[in-house]
Amino acid sequence: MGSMSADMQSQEALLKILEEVNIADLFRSPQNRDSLFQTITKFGEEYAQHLGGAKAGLPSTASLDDLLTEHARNPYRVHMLLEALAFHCSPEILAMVWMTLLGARIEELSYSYVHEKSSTLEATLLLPDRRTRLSFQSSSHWDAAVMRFASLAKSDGKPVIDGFFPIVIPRKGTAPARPSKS
Amino acid sequence: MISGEDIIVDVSIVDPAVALDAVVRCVWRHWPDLVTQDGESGSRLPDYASIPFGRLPELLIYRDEESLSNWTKSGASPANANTMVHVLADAQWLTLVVDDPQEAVMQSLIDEVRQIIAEQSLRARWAA
Repeated sequence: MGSMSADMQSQEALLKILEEVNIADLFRSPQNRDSLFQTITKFGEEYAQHLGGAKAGLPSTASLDDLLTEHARNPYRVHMLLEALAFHCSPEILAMVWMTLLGARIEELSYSYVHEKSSTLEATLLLPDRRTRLSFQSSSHWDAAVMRFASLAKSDGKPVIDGFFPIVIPRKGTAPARPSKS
Repeated sequence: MISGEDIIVDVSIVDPAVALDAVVRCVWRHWPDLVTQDGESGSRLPDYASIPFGRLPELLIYRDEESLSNWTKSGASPANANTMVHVLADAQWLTLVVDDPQEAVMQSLIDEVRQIIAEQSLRARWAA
């Protein structure tokens, strides 16, 4: 009972975070809420599975509680992950995004699309130990949405995708929203 | 002694925590062994994943352990030039304090930070 209550508290806390980026209404129905928490669970499993105990400068787990801890420290990271989840990114690609937010470098990122045939996203990350490389591949069309969050730059004239940053989503029917300055 | 030069970037529409995070990521590309310190308390910060950007108004980024040690021993001596970047962020401005903005790494760093903040500002404007 105690454990169940703690889980529910964590779920409630996550739902509040959805409000901060104005996507809570997407998860208002019981089915969508169930789907949200199932995706978070699968995301944690994919994260651990890809890491395979390597750690390599990253936290070893990515549970719902880990997300809440990170939200207290760096809310925008959790906002970005939840925005990607709202765009129906798969648990595997969410794990890739989370590793990047926590310091992995995007070494390679490619997307290929063939009309009515295929949509494939591939990524290779270099983990913060700067030795371990992990590969991710998805043929889920919705994973292409992750490109919306990519931060583009040039370093000495060479292309760099520096990571992923959230899209600020304004609240419906209110003045333009700005990120919290607190 | 060396003196720092302030490079000021408007971040009025960008989350300052995101700006600080972006700066550290930029510096990390150039200084893979960087070490960070809380600019207010002087305490050493944990690895990148655990840095609480959302709670930090300023940080010091050293090129590596040796640079931190040298700055601790001799402060702003000429030998320590361009081995540390002081970064401050508030609701309006991001300030990078560097020794020589014309030095190659500093020049790249400043250019990249400006690009990334400009992109973040565009995102925020579109969202608004």
